[in-house]
Amino acid sequence: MRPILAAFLVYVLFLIQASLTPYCPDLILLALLAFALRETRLVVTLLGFFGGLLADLTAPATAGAGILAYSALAYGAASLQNLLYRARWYVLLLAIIGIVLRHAIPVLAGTGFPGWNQAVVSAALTVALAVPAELLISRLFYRRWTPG
Amino acid sequence: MQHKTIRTWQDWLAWVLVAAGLVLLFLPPQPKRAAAVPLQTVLLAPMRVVRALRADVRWLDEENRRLSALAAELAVDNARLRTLARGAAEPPDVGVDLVRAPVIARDLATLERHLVISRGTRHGLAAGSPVVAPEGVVGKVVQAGAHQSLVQTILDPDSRVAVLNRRSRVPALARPGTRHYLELQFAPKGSDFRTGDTLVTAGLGGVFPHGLLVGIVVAAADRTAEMFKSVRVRPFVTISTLEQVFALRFPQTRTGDEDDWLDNIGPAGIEIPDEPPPR
Repeated sequence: MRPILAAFLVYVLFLIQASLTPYCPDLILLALLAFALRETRLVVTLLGFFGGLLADLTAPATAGAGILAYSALAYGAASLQNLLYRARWYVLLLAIIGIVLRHAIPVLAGTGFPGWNQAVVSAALTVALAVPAELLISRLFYRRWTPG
Repeated sequence: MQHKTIRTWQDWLAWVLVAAGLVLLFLPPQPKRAAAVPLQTVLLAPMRVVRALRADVRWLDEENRRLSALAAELAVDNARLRTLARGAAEPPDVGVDLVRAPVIARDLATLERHLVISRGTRHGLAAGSPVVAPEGVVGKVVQAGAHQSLVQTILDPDSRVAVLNRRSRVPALARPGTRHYLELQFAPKGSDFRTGDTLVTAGLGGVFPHGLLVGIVVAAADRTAEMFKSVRVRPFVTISTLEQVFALRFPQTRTGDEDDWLDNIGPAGIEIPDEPPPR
């Protein structure tokens, strides 16, 4: 039940993110990171695939970049959860890695870059919201504030 | 051992998903676009609904503003036409007679500070007689000759009219402002003047009777640097285009004393018709 609710949350966050200005934080990434620290690798990778699919639907010609970035990030974060998840500042580290990955994959594949202004503002907001988002999802979905 | 097998299976599936993204990334755009259409139809439907709603709200907001502005204009027109109709049907019951007076000249500088009308003391007018149009107050007679009179309009810099807000009953003094508008003097800060309020004569000062339409408030603001409220009023009467006005004739102003100084003054280029006195 929880993975379905998580997928629904990712869908809602995608709708919000797509309706806001391009200078908004990467809400799908934030949700994926929060779930990656608690769910299994398969569940999180599925969530990443779903989130990437949604993101790619807005630009079908370059589809695949979002799926690859989000699913790889989710799998990687879920794989590292037992190694890294000792304190909440690791969420910040994962958020930075996720942002870099999210932009690096389309650039390497030659499908485009959103522009420095948008990328920097969005990245700053994403990093700033990483810990609060993880706290919120932890509270809403797992009924606790403590990490791990 | 079994637990380890399940994890591996999960890992393989997860890698398949990641690899699917990689493969999809390097597919040509055309099939990806074609495959995305049904998914877009389903998954992006809420966005379309939200965008349509936002567009509707924006359109309704603009429509509301347009209609509000139109309603305000129509309210002014309605008030003016009501006054016109009432004036055409019967003279207002203000205890005075109306003397119809064609405008025969106006000051050439501004066209709206002074008018010369072809009625004078022989028709019962005197200095101080109010002059109105069907739309509202025009001004007052300041010099009356036998057959013509000089009218100082409410837009003359020396003119002051005691007014009353018809809705809130707050009194103030109207004086000419800039660009054909009136400004209110001595309206206390915080007093109840709003855009769209109708101002009528207050009946104070002994010149204008109570209740004549003066204008409509087009801007009202409390400014910190000023002692009084700043209120801008658009007169109902467009003085520069008036061709005919009505002078109010009070019984006590019917003195019979004729001041003929104005009868010998003709505005340049304007022929003043020599009208016979009324019987």
